[in-house]
This record gives sequence, structure tokens and C-alpha cells, in this order.
Amino acid sequence: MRTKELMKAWEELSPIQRQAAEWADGPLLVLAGPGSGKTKVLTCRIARLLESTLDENFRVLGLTFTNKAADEMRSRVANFVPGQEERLFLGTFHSFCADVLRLHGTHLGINPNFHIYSQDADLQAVLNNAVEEAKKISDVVSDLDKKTLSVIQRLKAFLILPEQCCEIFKNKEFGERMAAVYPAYEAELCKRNALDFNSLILKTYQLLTKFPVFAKRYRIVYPYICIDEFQDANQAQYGLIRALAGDQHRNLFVVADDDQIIYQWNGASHERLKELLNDFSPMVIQLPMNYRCPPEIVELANNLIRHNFLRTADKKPLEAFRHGLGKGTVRLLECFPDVEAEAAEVAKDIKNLHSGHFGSVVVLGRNRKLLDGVDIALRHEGLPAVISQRKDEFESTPFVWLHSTLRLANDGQNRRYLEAVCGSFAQLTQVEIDVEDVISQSQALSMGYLQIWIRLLNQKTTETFVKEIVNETSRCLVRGRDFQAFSKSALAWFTSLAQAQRQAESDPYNEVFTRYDEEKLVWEELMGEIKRNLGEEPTLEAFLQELQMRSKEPPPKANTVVLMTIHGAKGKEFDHVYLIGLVDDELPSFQSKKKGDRSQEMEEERRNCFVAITRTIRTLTLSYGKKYRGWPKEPSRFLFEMGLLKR
Amino acid sequence: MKLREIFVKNFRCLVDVSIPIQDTTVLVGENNSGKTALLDALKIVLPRSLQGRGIAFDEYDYYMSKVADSPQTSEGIIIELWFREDKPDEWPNSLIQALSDIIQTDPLKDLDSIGLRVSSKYDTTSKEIVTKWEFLTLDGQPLGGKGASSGNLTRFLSYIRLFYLSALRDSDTEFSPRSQFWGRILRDLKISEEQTMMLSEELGKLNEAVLKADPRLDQIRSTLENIQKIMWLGDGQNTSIQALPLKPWDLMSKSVVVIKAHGNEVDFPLSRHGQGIQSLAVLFLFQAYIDVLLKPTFQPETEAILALEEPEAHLHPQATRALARNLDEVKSQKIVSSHSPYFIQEIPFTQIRMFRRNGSSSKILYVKRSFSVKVPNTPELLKFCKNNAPKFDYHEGTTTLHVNGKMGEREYRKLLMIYPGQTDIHVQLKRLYGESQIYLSNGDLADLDTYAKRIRGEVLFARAWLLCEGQSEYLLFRFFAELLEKPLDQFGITVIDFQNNGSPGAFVGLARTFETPWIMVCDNDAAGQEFVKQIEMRGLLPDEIKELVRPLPESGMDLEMFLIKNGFAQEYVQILAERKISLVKKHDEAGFEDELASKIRADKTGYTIALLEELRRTSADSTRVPSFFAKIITDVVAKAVL
Repeated sequence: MRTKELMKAWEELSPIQRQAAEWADGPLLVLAGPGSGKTKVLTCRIARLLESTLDENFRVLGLTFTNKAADEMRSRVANFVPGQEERLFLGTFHSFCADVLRLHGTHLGINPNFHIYSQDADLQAVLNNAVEEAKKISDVVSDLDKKTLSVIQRLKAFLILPEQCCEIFKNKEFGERMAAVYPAYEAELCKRNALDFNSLILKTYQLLTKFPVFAKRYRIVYPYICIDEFQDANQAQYGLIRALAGDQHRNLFVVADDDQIIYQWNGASHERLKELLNDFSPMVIQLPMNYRCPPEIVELANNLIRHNFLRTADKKPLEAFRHGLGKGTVRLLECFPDVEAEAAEVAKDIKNLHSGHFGSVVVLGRNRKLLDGVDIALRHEGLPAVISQRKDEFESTPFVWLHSTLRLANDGQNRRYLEAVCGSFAQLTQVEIDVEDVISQSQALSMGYLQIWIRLLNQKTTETFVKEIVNETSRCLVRGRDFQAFSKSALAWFTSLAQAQRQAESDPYNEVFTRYDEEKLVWEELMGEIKRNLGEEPTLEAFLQELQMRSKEPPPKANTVVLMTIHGAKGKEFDHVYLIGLVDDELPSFQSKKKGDRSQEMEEERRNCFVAITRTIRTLTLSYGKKYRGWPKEPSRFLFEMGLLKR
Repeated sequence: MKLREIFVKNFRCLVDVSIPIQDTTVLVGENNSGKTALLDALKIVLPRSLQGRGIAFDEYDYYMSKVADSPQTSEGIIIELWFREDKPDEWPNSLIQALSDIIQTDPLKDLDSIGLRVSSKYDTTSKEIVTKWEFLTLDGQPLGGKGASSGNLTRFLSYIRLFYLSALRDSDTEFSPRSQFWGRILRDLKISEEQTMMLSEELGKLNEAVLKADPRLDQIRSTLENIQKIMWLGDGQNTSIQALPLKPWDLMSKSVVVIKAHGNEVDFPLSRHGQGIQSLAVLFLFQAYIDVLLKPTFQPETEAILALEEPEAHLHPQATRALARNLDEVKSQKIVSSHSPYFIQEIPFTQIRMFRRNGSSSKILYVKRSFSVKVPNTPELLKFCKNNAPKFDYHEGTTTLHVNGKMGEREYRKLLMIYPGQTDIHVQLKRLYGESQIYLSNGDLADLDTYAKRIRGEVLFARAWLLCEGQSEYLLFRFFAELLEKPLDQFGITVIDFQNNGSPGAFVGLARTFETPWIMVCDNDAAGQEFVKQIEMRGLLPDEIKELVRPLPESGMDLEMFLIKNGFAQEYVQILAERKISLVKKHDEAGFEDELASKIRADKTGYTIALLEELRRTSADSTRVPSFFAKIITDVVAKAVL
């Protein structure tokens, strides 16, 4: 092994982990429990594949479900085998599909410069227009169909194309409506040169199946495919893998844990693992050893998950690697009278026990409402706290301007981006440019909006600090297409702007530059990650597409309590975990209870609880109350199953 | 990975040309017709290194035809190279893996290709010339995503290397230690460390021995050592004389290739041999380089393109022919420009690209094996192509219909019916139909190639062709033209006796391909009419046939009868008499002409030669030229001069 880093990581692998990491050809399923070191196994395996074939050109494809996981693995592999980054595609399913469609999408009529719509508002606008169009050609379509966004997304998640959707529905009449609305929706997206997340997968699947030469091509380029968190794959993602692998490609390295399926609502299912076993007959290696949690928690987890039936038949129970930490490792707080009391006492408990180390604490809840209560209580106690959630767009004025300027450079006639550019720039500089002026001149001169915007600014202002950035915009984005240089100039300009305003001690600084510092970190971080993923000089359109797929959430500040839904905590670990709202109707949810004790939904709730407690490195604190939203509740059945309460 | 097409716009005299490229492609054409421009275009797109590619073009590279033209007003230079698979799975996996980000695939034919475009245009916003390098989608759009990454070009160029050997091949430079092949070979010599040490030691000893051989040398050395007294250079002996290079590489860089001349015992260095030998040596050096060093230096899949200007330079005709045949041995794609008939006679017509200057620009002509037109996609068309594959195929991405052969009348009608009432498309299809009629079958081409070999490729250099049936006509035309003081050679006219060399149709097809003007003469008998029919099948219009095809004036008349009736009966009777062949009929008796003609037909060529001898002996003048022949000669000369 060429690097110390890889050698060290390799030595740290347990014999069974090493067996998995050494895997060369053929399909393998690694059943990896929480905290079993699966990321280490996966990265070591990829590193070894690359290192043992330095004079070859093939690439390794690593698919994940989150950018975070991909970024982390990529940097680990780069550390293990420097210089081999170009032979590796490590990214989310969506990111991989965007890459495929940029290169070959034209065969499906997709312009490589497509937009990715990630926000429901955008998609709803698309659907609204589509319904209006569909109404013109079909009598059965009505405004009611503007509520079918989730139906369309589900159709896509099941790889159902517009022309196939009529027969899918039991309700004939509804099928007929969707058969008009769904194609209109696709046509509207196409008109806007846009794709939604699900169509990234669907279109790629369509490309690979309609033109098998592309599947063949990707099999040649990526003879090894690795998939992380396979249990999260929905029908579409699995269909994509099947299409990609074909009948010949067997080098599939899949890491999964059917006890951590918590995306059933998105189409994930334990069935997927069965399909995988059926379609590829992989060898199975189990990694039951848990390196993360104290033995007390491992025991709880085993107690709990035993109650699920829909799981791999001979799944081994987790084994604790660590020694017991003794009393206080697991605490079930005394039953509180109601949810408010629960939130208040949990906040106090955190304050008492973790003062000075609030960054090591996470509060987990099944739903956002539960977290809101604790968030308020924590603030009430004067504790720094933040609810972690995906953030689709930048919020601070400077970055709204930077991002929308780049978007406008890439999509020269987009009114929405122009409005954002004009609005945010006026806030930054007090120089106002009228959107309508830009549009009318642009039509008259047949030039792009950004060009006209620059022209108008040059006519309107003589102030050097404005001229400076306008010239830079023109140099980098109109004459050239060097968005990285533009970003650099813009950040420098923001800094001088901020200083000037701070000196003037004028109020606007506070408003305009709110969240600027944290978003600057996010911007730089994302820029770095995207470059590591796409190469040092990604094109503007690819950069914007990747940016669209990533959350702009800043990392939590130091010494801050983070609150998360269980879904948000997946794949993460924390020193001290508080799991709140452990009552029936919250965890397990009301809906699952309605479906019955042995329903799939109930099992998914149990896995939610399993995921939540196995995030713990040091201590786990569980809490519940008697009354939630005015209704009396029973303690969660999972508390009994874990053995924390006795009937 | 083979280069399969070059597309050039506004580069010098190449204003808008598209040239298919084969494993060997030979460029012919008069001076200044754009052959070098094409090779230079290649050099610019496939540079040896990427330094300075922003200024790849100088101002005279931009096509300019008027005084006011300048690079600023030019539409901009575009040079596109297309590398394409000839059959599915041709390119090795490792190549596809390495270049995946720039390889585009025809989804239906399963053929991979790489399109690389260099464009250079004055940008009105930035007020400067912008030169861009882009890889392309199948329909010519710049690739996005990873396909637009700048690292692709470097990687791509490590898989395809262009080597350029100009007409002025000088072995002194090509065999210098800094040259592209020899220098590389020398630098790449692998001598183990141990051997290097040993050699150095031996060389040191040898050096010492040489120095000791004449004591004066050491005297000089000690005088020079005084330098040390003026400038302190450290301890010990610092000044020495090296009679020999002491490092093995130094020694190797001085190495020369020596060749013994015929009947001589002395090894002469290459530079002391004739230009021809030097030229050849450079070519073989290239071959050696490809065989030994190309792949180890770059990638196992790296392929070379050799751009070779006038390989015939300074070579004896036999050597030129041998070289042409030997070119196959060089394991690279070859693009060769040549002015040598000796060279070209060895080259199949399909590999020839004829450059013709046309005003301020050039056009490039070649034997087309496929004809195409852009027509909209319809299910009926796809069905038609499927039923008539592989002769017809349709590329959906570029909406192009290809016909790989001569389109039949019925096929033409069926195509028209696919687009009922769409007259603009009908016009296009009619053009396609017409163009495809000049298609040369493999049989045609085989005949033509054999013929070209026999007459040393001359047809390709002719300004006009005079097609006639046999050798008698061949001799007569040349003789009559002299009498008319219009010697055919002087006007660049080649007389082709097609009957012994294939079919008139094939020659007419070739003439239309290379746009060579022609006139054909044939007997007015059954055989002659058959020839006319063959030409009609090449898609000529009735008016063109009338103008270009000249059967002898009377129905049923052959050449012998024509000559008898046009004033040469007397000479023939005399020639027969000399050969002691007597005639039954008398001069004014009915049937005399038939009897005379039948005797002559027994040895057509022989009698023609005898006739010409007799005419020369009697100093025949231009009045003896039958007006039928005189008109043809005048007409064909007029075409050649045009």
C-alpha cells in the first residue's frame, strides 16, 4: 500500500471487515448494522480497487443517498490513494444521473443546460400551467388536478412513463385524468428545460433502457459499482441499478441494513433487498459488531428490533465492541404530565448536564412539532439551539445576488432570476434597475438580460464601488464564462462593502449582511465539494445543477444544541442523544398505529426508534409525557419492547 | 481511434469543405489549391503541446477575399475533426474508460465518436480574437458537464498524435539529438546504471589514453589551468580536456546513421548521401519510431496520424512507387499530399481527395460511396430504411438520410411518396437521386484502378478527357490534333480508350466525381449504342448526352467505314496492296467500301498505324482531318482551356 493512511485504516479493520474490503469481483451484500464501520469498509474497498489497478483507466462508481456521505467518502478515498480522484465517481444517485444526462441527454431531447427544480413551489407552478394546458385538450381535467403533484412524483418513483400511466390506476376516471395531466406536466418541464429530482432518475433509466448502448458504455467505464445505504433505494433507483448492471455486470458491492429502512414513504422497502438477493444472488457478509454505542444501548436496540418480522431471516443481533460505561448511560426520564413539561425539563436537564459542551448534544424527535417545543424551551433556558433542516436557497442578500447573477448568466432570459438580481443588488448598493426596462431593452437589442443589466447600471451610476463589481460581472460572466473568478471577485467585494458599512455604522448592514458570514462558509464549502466531485473547472451549468441538489444549511455553531428529526439524524452519530416524545401516536406515529400492530408501517416506526437510539456514542436520554396536544397518550410500546418499562 | 472526417470553414482558401478520411488518404491538386492548408489545419487542432494554443492562428489564416476583409470581419475559422468507430466495439475498453467524458455514441448504430472543434472568431464584446477548443455532441453542440473540462484535451492528445513531415525533409535536422523521432529514440535509450558506470569508466580510460598519445595536449591543459589562479574554483584539478564525451548519453547524441553506398567500402554518414536516400531515411525513421516508441511514450492505445507532404521528393520513379506500396507498413493513419503520378498510380481512387481551386476558395472532390440529404423524420421513412438496409439509412440525431449506392428509379419513387405534396423535399430527393447516379461500384473501381496503374495515374492530372473505344481512335486523335496544331498533351488532354480498360460508364462516373470535362466518341453501331446507354444510366440529362457523346455520323457506321468514306480509301487500298492483299471489287463498284472495310477490320490497329505512317510520309496537312474529328478536337481543347 502506497500511503500510510490506507495502511493504517487497513490494519484497523476487523477480520470480517477486511474480508468485505478485500472483495474483488462478483456481487456482494454487506449487511452492516449501525456503527459497524461500513463507511470505512467501503472506502477501503474502493481505495484498494484503485490502488491495485493504477495503470488501468476504468472508474469506480460509488452511489450514495446524501451528498454529505459522498463528500466524506470521496475525501477519505482521496486521502488513501491520492491522484486517483478522476477514476472515481462518488455521488448521489441524482448527481450521477445529472452527469449522465448532461453528456447523453440530447438523445431524449434534454438540453445539457437543464435546470433542476428542487422546490415544491417551482414544481407546483409547473403543474398549474400543465393543468391549464391539459384542460384545453381534455374535458375530465379540472383545477382539482393541481393537487396531484405527489401523485406524479410517485408515478415517477415507480418508473412509470406518461404514456403508461392510464392503466395503473384502479380508479378508471382518475387514470384518465392523470393520463392528460402527467404528459402535460412533462411537456411543461421540457418547455422550461427543467427536470425535477425524480425525473433525473427516470430519464436516466429511460436513456439506459431505450438505448442499451449507453448501459453498455457505462458498464465499460464503471466495471465496479458500490452502493451505500442500499435499503433507502426506491423502485426507480433500483430500476436504474438493474438497467446499469444489465445481465453481465456482476461487480456490485452493496452495503445495506434492512433494520434502518425509514424511507418507506418514499418507496424504500425491505422488498428491495429480496429483489437484490434474487436478481444478483450476492454473497452476504454480516457486520454485526457495533463500534459506536455502549453495550447498554446495543442491548436496547437488539431487544427492540427483534419485534420486527420483515427483515433478513438470519440477521445476526448487534454485538457491542465497547465496554460498558455504567450507570447513567441510558436514562428514561420520569413521565412528565404533558409535552410542555417534557420540553421544559429536557431543556433543564441539558443545561444541567452538558453546560459548555452543548455541541455534543442532539435532541431527536419523530416529527418537527416535537422539536419546536424543545427549541423554545432551550431558548427559554438561554441555551443556544438550532433545528437542523435542509435549506434550498441562500437567504443573505449578498448570496442571493451572487447566486441569481450566476443563474442569469446561465439562463439569459429568466425573469425570476433577473428580479432577484435587481432586487438584491438594490439592497446592496441602493442603485435600482427596473426589471421591465431590462426586459424591453433586451428584446429590442436581442441581448441577454445580464448584458442589459450591466449596460443600464453603467449608465446609471458613477460610484466606483458599484462600477467595480459591474465591470467584474461583465469581464467574468459576459465576456468570459469564468464563474469561479466572478465568485472570488464578488466575495472580495462583499467584504469591502461590509467593512464600509460597518464603519458607517448604518443600520442596513445588519439587515443586508444578516447570515452573510455563515452563508459565506457554506458557499466556500459547497464550491469546494462540487469541484472535488466534478473536477477543478466545472462548467457553470453543471455547477448550478449540483448546487441546486445540495442543502445550503450552515454547519451548527460551536457549543449549540442541535435538534433533528430522526430522518435527519440518519448516518450521523452524537455523544449525547435525547429522544423525546416516546408515546404511542408520536413514536410510533398515529398513522402506523391505525394500520395495525403488525403492519409494515408499524415496523418502520420501530426502525425509526432503532435508528434514533443507535446514534449514541455516550449517553441516551429518553422522555415521554402523559398528554400531547391536549390528548392523553400511552407510553410508547417501544419503551416496553426495549425493556425500559415493564407492563 | 481513427480520424474519419475533417470539416473546415474559413481557413485560408478552405472556405467550407468536408473531407472524409481513410486509413490512407492522398491529397492531389495543383499548387495553391489548399492541400497544405488542410495539413496545417490538422497541425493546429492536434498540436504537439498545448502551449500557445490561444494564438494558434495568424491573421492570414482567416479567409479573406476582398480588400476590406480582415480577421475582424471574418465569420471565423472552424476546424472540426471527427474520430469515429467503423464498427461497434472497435475501440478498446481502456480507451473508452479514459475518454468517456468526451465520447458520444450513436445510440442506434452503436458507434462511438469524438468530435473536436477549434473555432477562432473576433468577439465584438471583448474586442479580441477568441480561440476555443471544444468537444462536441453528435449534432455539433459543445459538450457540457465533464465534457467541457479543460483536462479532456490533454488526455485526448495523449491518445492521438499527429506527426508532420514536410516536403523539405532534411536528414541533418531529423537525425539531430533534438529532433522529434531520432532525439526521442536516443533519449529513451535505456542503459542500466551498472552499464552506465562501466561505460563511463571505459570512456575515461580511453580519454586518458588519447590525451597521453600526444604530450602537447597535456601541456595545453596545464596552461589553461592558469584560469584557476585568476578565479578561484576550488581544490584539485579543474581543467581537463575531453577528447570523447564521457557520458554515454552524450556519446549517443553524437551517433549518426551510416550507409555503405553501392560498390563502396566506406561507411558514409547519411547526410553525405543523396537527397532521395535522406528523404527515405526520415520516413523509415518515423516508421521505426511508431514501432518502437509511440505506445511506450504515450498510452498502449495511442495511435499516430502521419501528415506527409510530397513523399516523392527527390525520388526515382521506381522508388516512388515502392514507397507508395511500403506506406501500408507504417502503422499509422496517413494523410499524404502528392504531385507524383508514380505515387498516385498505386493509390486506389477511393483514397484520393482532389483539391480544385474555384475562384478565391477551393473545393475538394472524391469518390463518394454514400450520398446524403437532410429530410424530416417520419415513421414511413424509418420503415423504408429498415426494409432497404444497408443501402439506405437514416440518422435521427442529424435528420440525415444516407444512400450507400446508386438509387434506383423505384426507390426514388417510393421516397417521393413518403412526402406527398412536399415539393421542397421532392427537390432535395431529386438532387439526391441525381447525385447517387455517379456511384461507382466495386467492379467499376477495380477496373479504374487497374487502368490508372497502367497509365501512371495521369488521368487525375488531366484537364480534360477524350473517351474513345479503342486504340485506333487513340492514335488517330493524337495525330489529327497535331495536324490541327493542337497537340493534346500540351492542353493537358488525356485520350482514354475505354474498351480495353473497363466501361465508359465507369470513366464518366469518375469524370463527374472529379469534375473533369470530357467528350466521348463511339461507333454508331449496336456496340456504340450500348455504350451510350451505359452513360445515360449515370444520370446525365439528354442535353448533356447530346453535347458530350458523339457517335460517328451515320447509323451503323464504325470507325473503319467512317475513314473509308472520309477520304482515306486511297491510302487503305495502297496499304493492302503493299501487304499483297487483293480486293475483288473495283473502286467504283457497289460493295467496294464494304469489302475494303472488312479487310481492314481484320487488324484494326495495325492498319491504323500503317495509315498514319503513310499520311506522315506524304506530309498530310490539316485539310485531311475529317470535320467530325476536327470539331471534337476543337471542343475538347476548349473545355481543357476553360
